[in-house]
Formats: sequence, C-alpha cells, structure tokens
Amino acid sequence: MILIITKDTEIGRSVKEHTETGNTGKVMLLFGEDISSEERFFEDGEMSSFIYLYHETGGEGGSESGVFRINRILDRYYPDLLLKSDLPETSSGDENVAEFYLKAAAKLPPHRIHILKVRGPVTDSAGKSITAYIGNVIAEGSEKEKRDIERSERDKKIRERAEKLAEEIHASESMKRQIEELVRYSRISGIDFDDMISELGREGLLPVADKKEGKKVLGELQRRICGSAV
Amino acid sequence: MENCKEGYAEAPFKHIYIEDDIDVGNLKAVERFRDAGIIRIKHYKDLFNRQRQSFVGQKASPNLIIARKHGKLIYEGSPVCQDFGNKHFYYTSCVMNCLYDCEYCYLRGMYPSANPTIFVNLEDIFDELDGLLKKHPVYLCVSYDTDLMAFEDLTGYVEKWCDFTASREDLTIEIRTKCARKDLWDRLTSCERVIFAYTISPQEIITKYEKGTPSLLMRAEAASVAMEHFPVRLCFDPMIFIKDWKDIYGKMFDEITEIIDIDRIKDFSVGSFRISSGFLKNMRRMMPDSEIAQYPFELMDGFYQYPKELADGMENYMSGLIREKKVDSEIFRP
Ligand code: SF4
Repeated sequence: MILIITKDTEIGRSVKEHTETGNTGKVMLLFGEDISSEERFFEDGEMSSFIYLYHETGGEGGSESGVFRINRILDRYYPDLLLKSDLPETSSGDENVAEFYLKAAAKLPPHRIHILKVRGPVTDSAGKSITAYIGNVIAEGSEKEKRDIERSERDKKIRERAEKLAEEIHASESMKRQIEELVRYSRISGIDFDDMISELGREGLLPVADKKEGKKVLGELQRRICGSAV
Repeated sequence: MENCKEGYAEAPFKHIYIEDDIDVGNLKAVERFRDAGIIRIKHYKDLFNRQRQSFVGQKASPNLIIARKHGKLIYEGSPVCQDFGNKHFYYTSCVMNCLYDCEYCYLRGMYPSANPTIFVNLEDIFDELDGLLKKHPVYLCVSYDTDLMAFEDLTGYVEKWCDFTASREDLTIEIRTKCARKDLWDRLTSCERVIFAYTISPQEIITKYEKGTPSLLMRAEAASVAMEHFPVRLCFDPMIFIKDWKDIYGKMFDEITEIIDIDRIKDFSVGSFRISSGFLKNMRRMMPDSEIAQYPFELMDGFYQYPKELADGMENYMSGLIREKKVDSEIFRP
C-alpha cells in the first residue's frame, strides 16, 4: 500500500481528481488541514512507499513555481532518489517535512520515501506532474509486489520440498536447514533436484532406516550438488 | 528499483553529494559529470549510512559522494586477504565502492550503500603512512574496497599513489584492478614497488558475474602492456565455482598465456571464493536469486568457503596450470 499524505486540501483534491485512490487497495490518500503526523498512519505493516506532498508557504527562497522533488531536508535527511523523475529538485528546511520523513524512515527504505513540494498555485499542470510521479511510484511498486509474490511462492515450494526429504531421511533441524539450502541452490543453478533424489534411490542409497544413514545420504547429495564430487 | 529492468531507475550519476567544506572547483568528478545536480551535505555518513538502502537499486542508479575521511585511515590486512609474504601488510580506502558490479563482491555485504564515495583528503592518508613508515617498511593495498584504476578519470589517485610510492623507498603498494586501460602508463611514474595486480577470470564468469568489467582479452592485453612499466601480478582470485569449471579455467589460462608473457609475471595469487559470514548473510538477503550467494558454503572460522575438497581441487588445478609453464615466480594461496 502506498501512503500519500498532504495537509493541503487543494493538492489533495487535485491528486484525488487524477489518481485512482479508491478501491484498489494500493493507494491510500490522506488529506486536509486536520491531517496530523500521528503515528497511526505509519503503523500499517503493508505500507510499501510513502509520498508526502506539501505546498510551500513561503520563506524557502526561489520564486519559480511548479512541482519540485525534495532531495535534502534540514541539511540532514536525504530521500534516496532512485526513482526516475524529470521533476526539478530542491531542498527543504521545513521541520514538518523532516518530521514526516523521520516517521516514514522508521519503516521504509529511503528510496521509498518521496517528498514533493508545490511552489505557487496548484495548477492543473502541477496536479498532472504530481499524478505522473505517483503513477511511477505505483507502477514500480506493482513490479516489486509481483516479484515478491513470485519469490514467496518459490520459497514455499523450496520449504515443502526440503521438508519432504527431511522426513524421508529422519533429519534433525540443522540437517533440514542444509537440505533447504541445497534445494534452493539447485533451483537457482538449474540442477534437477528430484532427478538427483531418484538417482540416489536407484543406487540404493534411499530410503534410509535412521538418521545416521540419512546423514550419509545428505553428505552424498551435498557432494553432488555442490560440485565437490568431481 | 531493486531491479533496474523495468525502466523506473534513475539515470546513473544524476546526483553528486559533496560535503559542505569541499571546494567544488578542483574536483575531476564534477568536471566529468557536468550535468549532475550537486547536493551539499554535512557529513557523508548521513547519506552513506542510511538504514535499509537498496544496494541493488543504487548499483543501477549510482550517485557519487565526495567527502573527507576522518579517524584512522590505514588498516591492518584482514585474514582472508593474502599478504604475499609481507609482514607489515595494510590496506587503505581512498575510495569506497566500485564502478563495476561483480555479483560476488564482498562490498555488497559490507557497506550499507553502493554509492561510490571518493575521499578528497589523500594527503592525510599519505601523512599517516609516513608515520607508519618511520616504524617499519609497509606493504599497502590501495585498491581493495574499490577498483582505483577504473576511477582514475574521476580521481587521478593512481597517478598520485605512483608518485608517492616512488618517493618512499620502504613502501610497496598493490593496485588491484580489472580495468583494461592502456593509455595511462606514460602518465604514471614508474616504480618497482608499485604492483599492478590484475584479477583474471574466465570470460564465462565475466559475462555472468562481473557486470561492467572489461573482457578477458582486454584485461590480458592491458596486463601485458602494464608489464612494460610496472611489476604485474596475476590474480586468479576469486575462482568461482561453475559447471565445467575445470575446462573453463583451463581454456582461460590457454587464452591469456597466448597474450601475456607469463615468465615476466612478478607473482600469482590463486584463491577460491571465500567471504566472511556476516557479509554473506547480507548478500543472501539482498540477492535471493544469486547462484553465487546462495551456494551451500561451508562455514569455517567465521568465513564461508566452498567445501574443502572443491576449494582445494580448484586451487590445485589453477596452481598446476601455472607450474606447468615452469615459471619461477611464486604462487600465493590463502
Ligand atoms: S571489481 Fe572488485 S571491487 Fe569492483 S565490484 Fe568487482 S569485486 Fe567489487
């Protein structure tokens, strides 16, 4: 979930107008004067990125209006600018911004914290710039989510396969961990683990009667997978 | 961003972070990346040590940090590093991180950030070194946590190290590199105590695991030119386990001996991949799909390494190939 916070009602409205924040469950937009920096906004364990949007109230120098990406806050904090963006950049000396940054940084890596400032009127074009940026955060986040899901499915399969063999060879907990490493490495390096187990069966090394024999089989499996059986 | 393929990654070196008190005017790196936005910082650690940074993402979109290093600047060599028979073996980091991107690089597990960081106060390192040299001769690796040669256009440090070493007769330095530049030699002060150590890997390993580095052929050619000016060490270290490793390493050795006059090599380093347990744990977390990081290593004295049988097999094989050439130079092993 991408959390977007702005205290500025105008910016909030503009974002709402252009961004699908409704029922997708992917984006949560909080806006309005009453938005405080309460902890509860950051408690959501699902938060994958944080965007803080604010309207310059003056006093930060420079007169060019538009949307800016913040690259430095109070000479101390630095969002990691890894996401591609054509927005001009500037620094921020706003204590409020620092407060939000710190709260987000307690949960998120610095490249998942985005701070944008609108200087001057919140024009239609400013709204569109913000929306485009948010769009990139969402799209990048979706790719990551897809990868995370694929990985967790693969991890689950690895664990299941390891548990099956662990049971067959009466493995202890530490043996089980070793098996898991072997299954993982096999998958990554293109070794057919099941084929190798069948081979051990054909050679009469499997099934085993007890843990002692199981250990031998594990040693042999290790030698074959790790390349030391040459 | 963890994965740069999607096209959401920012352009490399779009930003240069420079500590407040450093004069931008004299910086080669700023000249080199003219379009980069300069962001002033108080202390590089505010940036470099941020929690939970994406090393992989920063490798895809690196930003440069230019800073001053404080505290101790020269360190005693770690036990996994070869000392090449030198009693007073040290290393220093005038640059942290690398322009290349080797999948097995321990920097991935060691540093919280992948952003290359150049320290401008090389003179302070020289001063500390002079202090050490008053006590005993020093053997110093100056290109350990980076590839200094690859940074030469951004720093000019190789040139400075050559000058300094030539002027200190008890100092020997090693500059380890995969860089294939051949245009620097006329600019560098020749010195018998500056050893250029080329890491040589089979092309298969380079293609698969050493992103951004020059090819085997280019490295071999560079080493062979370097030999005309400086002592050259060949490092078959780290040797990486890969299917058919014997054929692959054998073929590599044949290829380089066609180009390099092996009799003129100062010495050799042969070592299979090994890494401290803490670094590997970090690397495994950050690279769940890496064949190198996820290899089922054996843990020995706090270091992960290939099973002894395999490590010995690989190192013996490589050493055997060198010995077959009947060279007199020493082969160093971990
Ligand atoms: S060249 Fe050396 S320092 Fe650079 S990434 Fe490769 S292993 Fe690391």
